[in-house]
Order: sequence, then C-alpha cells, then structure tokens
Amino acid sequence: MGDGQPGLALQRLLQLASPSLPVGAFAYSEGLETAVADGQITHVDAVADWLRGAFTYSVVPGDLAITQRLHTAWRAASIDDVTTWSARLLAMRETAERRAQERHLGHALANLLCAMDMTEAADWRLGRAHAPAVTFAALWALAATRWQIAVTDSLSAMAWAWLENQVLAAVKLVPLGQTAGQRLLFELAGDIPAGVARATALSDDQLGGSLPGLAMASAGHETLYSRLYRS
Amino acid sequence: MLLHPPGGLVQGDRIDIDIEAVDAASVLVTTPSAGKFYRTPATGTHQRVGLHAGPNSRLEWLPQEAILFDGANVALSLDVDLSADSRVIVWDSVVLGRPAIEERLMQGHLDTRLDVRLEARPIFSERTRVPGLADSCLQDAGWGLGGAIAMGTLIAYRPEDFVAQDIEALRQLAVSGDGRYTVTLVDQLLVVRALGQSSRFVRETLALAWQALRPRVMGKPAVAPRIWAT
Repeated sequence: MGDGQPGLALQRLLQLASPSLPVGAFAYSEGLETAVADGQITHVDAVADWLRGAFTYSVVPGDLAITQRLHTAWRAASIDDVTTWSARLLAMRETAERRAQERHLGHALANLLCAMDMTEAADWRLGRAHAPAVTFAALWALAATRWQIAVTDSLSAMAWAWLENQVLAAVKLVPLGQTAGQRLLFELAGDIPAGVARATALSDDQLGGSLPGLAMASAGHETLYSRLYRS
Repeated sequence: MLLHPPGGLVQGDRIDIDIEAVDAASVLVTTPSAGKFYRTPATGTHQRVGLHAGPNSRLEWLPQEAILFDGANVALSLDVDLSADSRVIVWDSVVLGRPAIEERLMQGHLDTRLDVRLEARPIFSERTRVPGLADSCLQDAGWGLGGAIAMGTLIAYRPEDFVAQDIEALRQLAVSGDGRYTVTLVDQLLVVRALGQSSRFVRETLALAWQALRPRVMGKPAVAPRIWAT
C-alpha cells in the first residue's frame, strides 16, 4: 500500500470514500430523520437547503478544517497532535448520538485498516491507548496520508462521502426518487471544491461550527418514536 | 452578583471575567440585568468569561441574557474548566434584536463559543456563528435558528454519572410558550438547548432546568436569586 505507483492514490481514495466501506456509515442520518419526522423537510428543495446549511456552517469549519490538520499531524508522525485534533473534533459532536457515531465509525475504520496491515491504526481500536480520542476523521486522515493521497483530494472525498450518505438517507426518508437523489448529489457536489478551499484557509481560531437546528434535530432523535437510523 | 454599571458594551469594548472556585468553595454568580450589546459599525465587542471549578468545588454561573441590538458585532466566549470532583451548572443565553420593538438582527454578527474541559481535556466545544439576516438566512432556516430570536444552552456536571432518570426529569419540564428545547448527555456532561420565539421561553426553560438539576447536582433545593425578580 502507498507505494507511489502512478494512479494508485486515486484507487485508494475511491476505496476509502466508497459507501461499501464496511464501517456502517449508512446507519446514521445525523438528525435528518428527525427533521423529516417533524415535517421540517418535506421535499427535495428543503433537503438541498438543509444540506447546504450543514455543509457551509458545520462540515467546512469543523470536519474538513480539522481533517486537514490531522493530515499534517499524521504526515509529521506526531501522535500528540493527532490525538489533540481528534479529541477536539470529538468535543464538537454536540449530542450523545453524534458522539457515539463518531466513535463507532472511528473504531470500525481502525479495525479495517488493521486488517489491511496498517499497523498504526491498532492503537485506535476499542479499548486501546488512543481509543478515548478516536474519530472517523483521525483514521481517515491516517489512511489518506499513508496512501499518498493529496490533502485537498482527501477533503473533497470526505465531503463527498458525507454528502452521498446524507442524500441516500434523504432518498429513503423523505422519500425521493433515485433520479431526484442523483440530481441533488450532482448539484450539491458543486459546492465542495469551494468548501474545501475555504476549510484549508481557516486559521486555528476560526475552527468549529455548530448549528442549533442540527444539534436539536440530533438530540431530538434520541426520543423519536420510530427510528430507521442510529443518529 | 456581578455588576457592570454602564450596563452595555459599545464599539471596541472588551470585557474579561474570570471566576475561580477554589478548593471546596461554593459560589453562585448571576447578573442583575441583561447584558446589552449596542450597534457597532466598525470594530466589534468581545466578552470572554473563564470559569474554573477547582477540586471539590460547586460553581453556578447563571447570568441574565445577552441582548444584541441590530448592527451589533459580538464575540462571546465562555470557557469552563472542571475538576473531576467539582459540581457545576452553567447557562448562557442570547437574544437577537429587541423583540419589544420588533427589531431583529438584520446587520451585524454573533460568534459565540462554549468550551468545556474536564481535567484539562476538551469534552465539549460548541461554536455558533449567527450572521445578520441581510447576509444569511441562518436565523430563519430550520437547520439554523428556525426563526427563533432567543437561544440558550445549559450544561451541568457532577462527579457521579448522570442516569436515565436525570435526563427524563429534564425532558418533562413544564415549559409553556413558543419554542422548543432538547436534552442530551455527551459523555459526563448534561446539555439542555433551547430556542424560543421569545426571550421568556428560553429564560423559563433554563430556569426550570436549573431547578430540576440543582438538587441532583448540588444536593440543594433551587431558590431563585431575588435579583431575578426585580
């Protein structure tokens, strides 16, 4: 892995960002299920608006900006920096379910990378030394760095994976037709390059983005009567 | 009680408040009136609050709300440092515009942060940016404030883990009025969030949450400070 063969980094990135990556990301709606159940989201335009808001104000200054820093830390092999940034991202998950999601996906990716002979992932498995600070982003950045994936490509793919997962949840929940889902994905992905550029330009004191509506939809999911998703 | 005689912050003002509850001390800090943040066309205003709950201490920080006048540019930061065996209840609330005159935050910007550390490790970090309505639909969007003009957060910590009954008690608050609130537990920190169509909804929700929590966190009944009634 990561042997620098031309074109190989792209193959690795496609594998990492694939919805078939067996970490279980498909089980999380991140509050979308509550917003649909509450009647806040009833049609495709409302989904687009919700995801644009979440991307602009939360994913960009939170997930993407911190993942960039995690890349830098892994490249420098600074475990202290990795755990610091990962713990900071975990602290930004403002609800019980969002935090459980982050830990669950982080541990699952650590297990998978271990099984793919990436030994550095071992300490992030459940019960191991770095487990308290585990995030999906920390393990994603480890894989991306070791597989020689450029940081902007990694952040673009992470944003894409988030968006695809959210759109798939919307297709199931609202519901939307498969074609409407693809059109939505096509449209919203157009915001990703500018979002990645903005994330990489932020200084440390500009990080973080919480949205009361998202946080409350996620917290409200804990008491939702009937649930398909785990967040 | 904390008094700021001018009662409001104008352009370029910066206020820093540090409160430390040292070994085994008990303290409840509040303010006699809402903090006002006036229109600031050029440079913004900053308020930074640092709370330090030392070993075995009890700290309550229950200020009245911050009111942003239209055109205010305000950065609020609240840092809470917890010792493992401290007991803490903290709230923070903001009103955007002056509802009495149907004013909303059209121009200006709010950037508010709440960072909580337990024995120096970050356990909660929330940063909400609210642009004026002229710049963004965030205040009206469902993913943002959903049309609310007031928002508030209460956090509580005690050394013994919170249990399902604590959370259930908070979900049953007899709040009336136009707004909504949620309860969640992130690791050992209880978090109550409220969004209201009126500042009263948020104030009442936080006060009722505090009343329900005080016996559970501090082992004492809640008696509202008399200054709140004036």
